[in-house]
This record gives sequence, C-alpha cells and structure tokens, in this order.
Amino acid sequence: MFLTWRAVVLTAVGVPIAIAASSALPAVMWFALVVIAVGIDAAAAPSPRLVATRRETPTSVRLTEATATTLLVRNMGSRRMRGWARDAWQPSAGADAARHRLDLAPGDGVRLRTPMRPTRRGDRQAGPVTLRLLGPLSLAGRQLTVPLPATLRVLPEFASRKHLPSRMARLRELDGRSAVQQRGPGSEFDSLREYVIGDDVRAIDWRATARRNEVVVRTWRPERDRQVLILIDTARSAAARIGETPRLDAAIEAALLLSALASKAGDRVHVVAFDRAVRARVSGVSGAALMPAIADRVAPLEPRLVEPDWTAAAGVVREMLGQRALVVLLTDVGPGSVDSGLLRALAPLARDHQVLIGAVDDPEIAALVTERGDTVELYTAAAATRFELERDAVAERLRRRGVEVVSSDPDGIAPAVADAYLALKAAGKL
Amino acid sequence: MSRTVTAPEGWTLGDGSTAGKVASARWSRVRWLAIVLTLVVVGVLVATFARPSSNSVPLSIDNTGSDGARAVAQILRGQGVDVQEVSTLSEAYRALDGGGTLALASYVFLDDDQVASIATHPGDVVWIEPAPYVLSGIDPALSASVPTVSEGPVPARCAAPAAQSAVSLTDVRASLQVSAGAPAEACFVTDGSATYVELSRDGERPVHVLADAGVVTNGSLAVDGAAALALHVLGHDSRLVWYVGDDADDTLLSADQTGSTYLTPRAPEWLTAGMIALLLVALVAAFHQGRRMGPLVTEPLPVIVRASEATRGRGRLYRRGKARGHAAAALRAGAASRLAARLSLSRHSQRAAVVSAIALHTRRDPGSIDSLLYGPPPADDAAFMRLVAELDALESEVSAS
Repeated sequence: MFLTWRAVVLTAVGVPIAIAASSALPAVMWFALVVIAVGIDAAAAPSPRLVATRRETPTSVRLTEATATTLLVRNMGSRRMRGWARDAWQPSAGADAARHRLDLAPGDGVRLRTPMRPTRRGDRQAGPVTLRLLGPLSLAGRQLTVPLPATLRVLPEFASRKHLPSRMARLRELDGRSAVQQRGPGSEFDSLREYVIGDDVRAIDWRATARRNEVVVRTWRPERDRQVLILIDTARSAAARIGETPRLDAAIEAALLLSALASKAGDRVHVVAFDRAVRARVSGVSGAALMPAIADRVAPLEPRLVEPDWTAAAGVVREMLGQRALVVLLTDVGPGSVDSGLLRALAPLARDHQVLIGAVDDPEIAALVTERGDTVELYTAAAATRFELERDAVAERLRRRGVEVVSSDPDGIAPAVADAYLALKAAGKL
Repeated sequence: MSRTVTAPEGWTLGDGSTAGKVASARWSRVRWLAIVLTLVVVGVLVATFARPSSNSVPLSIDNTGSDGARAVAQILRGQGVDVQEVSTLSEAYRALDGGGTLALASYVFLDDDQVASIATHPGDVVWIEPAPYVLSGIDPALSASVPTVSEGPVPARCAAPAAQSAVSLTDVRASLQVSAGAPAEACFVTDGSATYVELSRDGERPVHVLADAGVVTNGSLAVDGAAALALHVLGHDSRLVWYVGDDADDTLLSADQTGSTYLTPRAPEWLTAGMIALLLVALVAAFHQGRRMGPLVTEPLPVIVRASEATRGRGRLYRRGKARGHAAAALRAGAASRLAARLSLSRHSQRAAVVSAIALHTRRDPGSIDSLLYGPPPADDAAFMRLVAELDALESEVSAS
C-alpha cells in the first residue's frame, strides 16, 4: 500500500476546519474519514499481481557509453491499471530516470525504456521491479516488488584506443623498413623480389638469381606469430586508487591497447589476470574475436586485498608458453614488490622469456617530493623521496636481471607499454 | 477472483505471493510489537482520561478522607444539585454561566484582580476559610482576628437564615471581625470573632464567609449544626461550582479571557486545534514520503584507499618519531641521485666523484658540498628546513647552468 500527495492535501483540508471551529475534534473526525477513504481506495485498487513484467537488457556496454534497458509491462487483469513502475538498478548503472507512468487497458502492454550510462566497470546488477497501482480515488493504491534479475556487463572504457592509430603507423614503419633490413634476430624471411636500385647488395640471393634471369633480393620482416602474454595483477596493489580509479583500471587499459597492437602485428595474445589464482584467462583466441573476448573477461575483475603469489603466477606463465615469448606484467613496482617475492619469481622467468613490467605510478608521489611548506610537508617529501629511491632501486635490480621496466602514471601507462613493445619488436628481442 | 491468470512465456507475473499471504506474514512479524504498542497506548489513554474516583487534595469533593468534602457534595447531589469541581476561575466562569453558587474551597494564591472578579458573580459566593489577606477584598467591613476555638456549642445569634437553621455549632474556629454598621450578619460569635458572616448585596445573592473549613469537611460535617449550615449555604441554587484552585491559576472569573498561567503560556484554542490538525497532516505526509517505491539497490563499493596514503603515513611517522636524520638522509639521497643524473654520472658513482663533479660545475667549495650532501643529520626542525632549502638551491643552481 502507498499514499499519494492527494491524501496529504485531503488531510490538510482539516486544518482550516479545525481553526474555524476552534476545536481539534472536527479535524480528528476529518482525519478518520480520510483514513477510511484511503483504506477503501487501496482495497479497491487493481492487484499488481496481475501485471506481467519482463526485462530486455543489453548484455554489455562500454563504460561511459549510453545504452538503455527496456521493461515490458502487460496488464493481465480485467481492469484498467494506472500507476507507476520503477526499474531499479545499482546506482553506478546510471539508470536515473527509472520511474515510469503506467496507464494500461486490460490486455494492454507497454515498453518502458530507461536510459543508462554506467559509471563503473564490472557487472551491474538490476534491482527488483516495483509496481504501484492507483485506486479509483487516486488517494492510495497497492504496491508490489517483483524480483526480476538482470545483469549488464560494463566493459572497460578502452580510452587508450586513441593511441592505437599512431602505434599502428609505427608498426607499419617497422614493417616497411624491414624490406631492406638485414637478417638478424627478431626478423624472419619474408619473400624474394626483384632487385631495385637502392637495395642493399648484400641482400641479393645469388642462388635464386642464378635460377632466373634477373637479380633477386631476399626481404625480411619482423618476426610474426610470437607469443605475447599479458599478466594483470589483481592483488592488493591493484586496489589502491590513483586519482579517481583503481590501479587495476589503468592496467586493463594498458592490456587492451597492447592486445590490439600485438594482434594487429600478427602476434598471438594471451591475457591472464592473477592474484593468488587465475581470475581471468583469454588464450587461443585470435582475429576479430580477440578484443571482445578480452574486454568481456576482464570487465568483471575486481582487485582483492590479498598478497599476490608470484611463484604460482610464474608457474601459470610457464605452463601456457612453450617457446620464448614476451611476458608483460602489469603491476606496481615498489619496495613492497620485494616483500611479495616478485624478484625471486621473475628471475628464472626472465631467463626463458622476455619480461616487461608495466608499473602504474602515482603522480601524487612525484608531487609530494617537491612539497616545501612547513615541516609536516618536508617530512612527507622525505618519505616520498625515500619511496622513489626504493622504487628506482627495485627497478634497477629488475633491469639487471634482464627485465624491462617501464613506469608511468595511469594515463600514460598504456602508450608507454605499447612503445616498449614496439621498441622490443624493432630490436628483435621478442 | 476465480479466474486464473498465467504469465506469457518469458514473462514474470507477480512475485509468487498473494495479498493474504503477505498480510499474514507481516502480521506474524509485527504482532508482538503491535500487542505491546496497543497495551501501552491503552494504558496511556486510561491514565490520561480516567479521572481518579478519589484523591487526597484537602477540601476536594473527590476526597473521601476526613479533610475532604465528598460527603457534602454527595448530599447536595442527592438533593438534585449539580456539583462540579473546577481548578481555574475561567473554568468556573464557563461552568457557572452567569448563575449558580460558587464555592471557593481552597486555593494557593488569589490576587486582588481575581478576588474582585469573584465579587462580580451575581449568584451565591461561598468563601471557605479565606486567607486573611483576601478578606478586605471580599468586603471592606471584614477583617481577621486571632483565631479562637470555642469550647462547647456556640449559638447562632443572628438573622441569617442559614445560621438560624443550624441553631448552634460545636468546637469551631472563629476569626472574622465585622466592623459596625456594615450590611453583614455575623453569626456564631466567640470573643467578638465570628465563624460565619453573611454579606448581603443589592439585587444579588449574598456572599457567605465561613471562617472554619471544618463545617464542610467529611470529618466534622456531622457535628452539631455544621451540616445544616453547609447545606443551607451551598444548596441554594441547583448548580454548585466547587473551586479547588490550581497552583498556576491566574485566570479571572470573566468571559473569554486569553490569559495564561504564570508557568505556561496558554495558546488560544484555535491555534491548538490548528496544531493538532497540522500534526495529523504531518503524519499522513510522513507516511506518503516514507513509503519507498521498492527497496534500495546496494552497490558493492570498491576500496577507497589512495595509493599515496602509505607514503603520507610514513611522513607522519617520521615526524612523530622526530626522525630528522632519516628524513634528511632521504632528501639528501634524492638530491644526490638527481644531481648525479643531471651531471651524467652513473647511479653508482662514488661520493667523492659526485662532490667533485658538482664542485666543478658550480665552482663551489667541495667541502661545503660534501657536508651539505653527506654531512651530519640536522639538530632540530629549523636546521632541517635550512638544509632542505640549501639542497633545493644547489639543485636549481646545477639545473640552471
């Protein structure tokens, strides 16, 4: 049961009556009348149990993009139904205009469209649908809440895709240069073609030239079909907020950009999210299906407040990769990494594979270093400086073990990792 | 409804409950609360509205004790007199409605205006043991004397009909003196003081003054002529208003006053009525607003810890521990590593190499640079601040050149 504002207004009529009569008794009697009228109205309202409902929800939407969910309501009773329907969602689903008017003749149905604009990545759950049907006097009515579960998967924004065209151009540049590139590590035989002036004479394939009437050169291209494994850390350090978003979201952005770039470059991409166990895994998917698969798997990831198990992670990597590959680890490098056994676990891995660490830094630390207000800020600056020194030391030790380390703030980490990948590719280190 | 409705394929119809089931489930959930609440409400109502059948207020017509006046009220009721007890003069005014007998049985304090307003009552006015200070207000001819208690019966010896019907009184107190020549009948006189005085008024019923409240109390009503005197004085009219004054009563015996007690301001009737009506509106509005359209949908909130929080905490720890040495060492090491990078030295350069490179670059004394970068920890916060300022100056000097 619920009341409408009309019931309040009707009760308020008792105020002037009471004042005119200088006695509260008429107001109390009027109130009793209103209560009776409200009771009759609520009892006479059509049953909300005769309303059939159904949700039509898109399965997924990219973060910051608008979508809409549809609630279908049908009057299965024999009376006209007036009232409201509320299509409830979690606040971060961005379904603000969730209340709709209902006016249905018997047997009639209506599609109620609720626009949504999710504000957080992950699985957004729908709440129940609440129906309010007015009684004949519009004073009161009956209310029913119907559980109608639905889920909208909010995919990562992939804001870093704006960096993709420029990196693709760099990749093509790399490819084009390879026509005259010497044979060496990281390049493989591409094709034979006719010699044109300007080609390096050392590239002439004499055996092929002997078989033909023209001079033929060998062309090389960067190696293709290399394995790229992106390991996303979803443990403790991924939960820390940098600016407005957790570190994990920056890592996901970097993983998406690198996946897009590497798959365009012809490499095989695997994505694993790990803390103490595998939280998500995309492997063996290629072509157009890759990016949707990655976005779908990483979308529901949530950081966990646990210590990462790097030894187990190294085991997973070893198990997934047969040949030498590029292992990209998206995490945080700091004094805490030494405690969690990152160095110990990565050392053997770095012997078999090329390991690249993409560290998401907090730009606030760099800002704290230069703070010079009172003594409080000086001590904070000292702590921040200490942290930076320790982080540099850890990065240095990782580099000495043959691990590439790039670090940047959340906005810059995705292009930084992509550039590091391109540099490794150009250097033939894959 | 006998018709069964089924949902179309893929649709949901209702929530699997019925109105009856929901109502019974709700009732079983709240029934104990409802029962307790009902008992409390009924108890409060009973306590508020049920008038206690007896009390212990002296001279109250509900008091059955020896100092009460229930007996006289019951006798008068038996004679067809409508007896009503009031606690304020304004109530008395409404009850009297311009006629009837007003008996002033007890009060805490009556001021001159109140006494004067009582004098305007046209019907019988009966003062029972008035305080000495009101006597002159009742009639200028009256005054108080030292109370004397008669031993044995005192005859009426006056022309007042009430006194004559009583004939005599026994063991009563007399403390009223009447100046000569006044239109008053002083009766039951002992040592010049009267127990009962009847003051006649022009065209209005007389004012009766009883010096001894014992005449009307349950305890001594039956003694000698007390009952005859009391019933005669109080029973002239078919309506008797018995005033047992409230502590806070400062109303007058007059029409439509908007007075207030001296303790609580009294709101006008229409305002009180309007407030009660508004309260009911607020109740309905609260129910209207309070009924939520469906439950809240909860959001699993993520961790909200800033990544820099640990660093800030470390800074606070430095400060609390007065770890100036650690803090200065960190800032020195940071400055040294930045300077080394600026001067293209390797990260692992020796102290002497760094100092000499900086000295060469800035043309400063190597000793001062060495003590700045690797010297002893600062002694206090001021020295610490000076040290940091010097480090900053050195860094900006190197990067400027």
